[in-house]
Amino acid sequence: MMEIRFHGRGGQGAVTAAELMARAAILDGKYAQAFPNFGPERRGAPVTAFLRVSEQPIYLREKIESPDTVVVLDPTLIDLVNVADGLKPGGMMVMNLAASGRGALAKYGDQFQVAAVDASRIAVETIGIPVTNTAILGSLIKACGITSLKTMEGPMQRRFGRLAAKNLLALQRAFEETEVPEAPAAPSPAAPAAGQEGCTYAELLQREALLVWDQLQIGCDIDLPGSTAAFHTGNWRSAGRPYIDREKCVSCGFCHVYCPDLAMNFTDDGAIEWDHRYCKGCGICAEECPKGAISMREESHEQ
Amino acid sequence: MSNRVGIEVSIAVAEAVGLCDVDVVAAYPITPQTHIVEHLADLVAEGKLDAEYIAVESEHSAISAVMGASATGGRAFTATASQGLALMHEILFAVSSLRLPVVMAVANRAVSAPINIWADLSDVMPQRDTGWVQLFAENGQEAYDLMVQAFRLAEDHRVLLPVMVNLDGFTLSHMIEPITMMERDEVRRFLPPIEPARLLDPDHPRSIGPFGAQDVYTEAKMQQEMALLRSEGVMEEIWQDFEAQFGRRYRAVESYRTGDAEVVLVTMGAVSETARAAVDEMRDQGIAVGLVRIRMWRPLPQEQLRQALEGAKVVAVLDRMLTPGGTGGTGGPVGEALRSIFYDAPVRPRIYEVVAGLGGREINRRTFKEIVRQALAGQEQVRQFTLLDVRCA
Amino acid sequence: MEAAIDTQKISMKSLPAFEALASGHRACQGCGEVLAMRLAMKALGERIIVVSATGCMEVITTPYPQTSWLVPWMHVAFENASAVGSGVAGALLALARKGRLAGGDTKIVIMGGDGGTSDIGMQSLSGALERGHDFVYLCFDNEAYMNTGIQRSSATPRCAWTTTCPLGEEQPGKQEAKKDLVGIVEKHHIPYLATATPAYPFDLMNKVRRGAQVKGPAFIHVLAPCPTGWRIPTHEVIKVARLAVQTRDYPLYEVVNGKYILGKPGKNVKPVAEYLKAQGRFKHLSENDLAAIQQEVDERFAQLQWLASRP
Repeated sequence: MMEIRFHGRGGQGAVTAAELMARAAILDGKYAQAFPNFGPERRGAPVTAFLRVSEQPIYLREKIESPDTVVVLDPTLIDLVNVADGLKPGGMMVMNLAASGRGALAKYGDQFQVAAVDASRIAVETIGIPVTNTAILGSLIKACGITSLKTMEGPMQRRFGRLAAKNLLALQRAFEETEVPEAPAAPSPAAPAAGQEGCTYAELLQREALLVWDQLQIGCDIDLPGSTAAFHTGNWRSAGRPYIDREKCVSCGFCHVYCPDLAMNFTDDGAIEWDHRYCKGCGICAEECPKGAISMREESHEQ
Repeated sequence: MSNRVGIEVSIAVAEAVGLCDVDVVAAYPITPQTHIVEHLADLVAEGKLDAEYIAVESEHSAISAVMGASATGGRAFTATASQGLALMHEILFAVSSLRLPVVMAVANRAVSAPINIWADLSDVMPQRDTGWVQLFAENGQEAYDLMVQAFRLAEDHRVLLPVMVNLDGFTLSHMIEPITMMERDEVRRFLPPIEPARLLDPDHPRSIGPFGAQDVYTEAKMQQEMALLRSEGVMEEIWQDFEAQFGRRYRAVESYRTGDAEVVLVTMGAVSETARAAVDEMRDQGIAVGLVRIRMWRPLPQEQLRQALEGAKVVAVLDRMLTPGGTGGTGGPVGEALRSIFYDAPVRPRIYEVVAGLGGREINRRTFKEIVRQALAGQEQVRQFTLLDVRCA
Repeated sequence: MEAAIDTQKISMKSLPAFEALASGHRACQGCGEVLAMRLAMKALGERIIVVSATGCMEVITTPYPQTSWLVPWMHVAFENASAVGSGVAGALLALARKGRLAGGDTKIVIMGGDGGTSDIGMQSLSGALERGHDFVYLCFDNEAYMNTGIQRSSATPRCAWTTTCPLGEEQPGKQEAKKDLVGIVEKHHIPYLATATPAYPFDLMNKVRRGAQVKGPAFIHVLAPCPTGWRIPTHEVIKVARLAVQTRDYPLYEVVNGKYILGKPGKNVKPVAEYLKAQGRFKHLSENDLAAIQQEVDERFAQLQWLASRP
């Protein structure tokens, strides 16, 4: 059995990717499960989806804790989420990453196999928008087999209708352009999996429990007003951030008024300051700035 | 005693609520609860009770409104029955989960269909698992006293849970009978002013009723369950105080002539007085029969029940609600509970289970004598339970 | 006792610094609803108690053990926010009378989405309006059940796509008209009623403030675009909300003690097609559909003008 975890952002189609793969595997006569991580995550938030494929019937209905493979749809997630969490030593990482950014993969080289592809570019060139969930499947097939490009046609047709041809092209292109390491890296014994084998059930519960029952507020109240401020939604940004042109900005405040996330605020001096911690990158401020002083651009990583 | 008056039980219940200085009453009329809320509306309209009476547009809103009132720091009361309680079902969970100390009277009545306005326990029994403390009155005095005790239990900071006081529709709610009334000062001595554990207050903002995912829901349930279990002991303390002040003694489980009893009847609610009379008559005829009455149904006083029934050869349980499709060889919830209590006991009584009194079908002394006759006859129950008084061709 | 609600008119210069919501809430990128809520709360200030129906706003602001709220907030269920708020109102009255309220004057704010208001919460809302409790109700209408994944509500406009009024051959999109929630509320003869959208933030804030100053029920209906459900780019949320007003698909007006007051007419009215074509949920509309909707919009606006012309 092969267990795969997909990393994406809400709205990017990670769940669809897992589903398409499962349907293809089932068409091949295999057994498969695809399922999301059911939660309250919204569009833009880092999310995960899961896939199991097996030659034998699958009798598991638990989360995948020690995947054989992880698939990363969005390159901006690599710095935000531990995408290798629980990945089996020597496991496969299928990454959407432009050639220029592949230095970030060095840290995985010792323990895992890494198959990288510039799925964003392929998606733009084939589908016209940077939605990578179909392209990345071409890489996954190249890296792990599971199914064939041919089998993918049926499920893709069914899912995308008249857009299927473009998505199949993305799949094909990604398959061709994916570089797969020839020999598996030597599994490092120093990286134990964080799965159930690694700790007792009680330890697992302890680790996950935020608070023990008799320390909860009465009725599960929350008496820490404004405490979501500790949660930085800045990592939901994936398509650029606002840049303020100080020459043009007159501190009129419309970006502040229109920001759903309180990420454009007045400083004590009355200037507008962007808050990278909370900005989700919606772009309303740039659209609404009466002076055209704000533009959305790809983030430089100097920040 | 000059305070002993002949009064309709519903009116007495409303008077008790009034003596408790409630701040908010929210209610929707339904037979046979109406006299309780009408009288409360009277008390408010006449200025005898300084409270807000919110005439809501449904029972669902009644229970919701008392939640809002309670979360704002007010002492809040509602009353309902039957369909109204069923309509509240969703919100009953929220009241106990949010640990709001509201009190509700339920004038027990059958649930449709066919539509039927008379007493049985089909309304309250499906609310068993909603996390409320559930008490059952046998007579008017109990219904009256339990209202006052209920507020004290609910508001105790060791408990902080809603309390439901059940009284049989019509056969108890509409009965005129003698009740010893309390004075306002006496009640104030017994029931201190409400001290909210927390409330909606702009000076101390908090969020009540948040989104709780897998990582906290279990702990929240554990907290709630421990409080409910704790309420049994707190209730016992309150009953001791009540006895000291008013001289009337209450227990979670009441035993009557069970000492040498071969067969013990188990009942809840107003039919228990009839059962007691039947026991006396059967004793006169030389039948070794006793009676155990359950006053506190949730939390279930398991140990007290086990002790009360220890030594009986046969336990004859009267359930006034049918559990459709019966689980595990029982016909109703009380029978099911007793079987569970005795499953691990070294010596288990035979449990003879009868479902009767549905939709107000008469339960009288003959009923109890028949139950005891069948139970003592020793034969296995033909079916998993006996629907005692069903007409057959 | 100091009044709960500030009476000053809000402009950019007098924009209240107060925020009732902290950052870090889990709303989608470009969420028009959380923006509308943030603005409304700025206008209301800190002397409020918020009772929320179930919905996106409840879920995204209170992921235990964190809350975005800096004011007292309570949520019980989907359909009963108005009833819970009624109870809060009753308790505040009783406790104030009995001298048991420590703080100053407090305003009750009840809020829900279109589902929680015009569908499942309609009964409890109607009851609360009829009883006349002192509260301001904020309906954030994004025209579908977005929290559960874009299902049709009675507030979904005619022809719009949702997952439960999909674009079938037989039935392309919603076949029925949007429920006239504002009209229904108006028939309760409450002292203050208004429509607003975050595209006109100061109009929205001032209406909320005006509504909160009246004694008795006030109702603010806010059209709050949902980029996820309306299939619009996140940066166009305000633009689309503005188009709703500019095309008269969503006119801004107040009803004060029964008197209709129509917002200032825009200089150049745009065809409703501009509003509809900006949204993916309407992308299937034919020219005939657009013409029919334009006619509906014109008729509704004419009726509104007639209502506003009455003395």
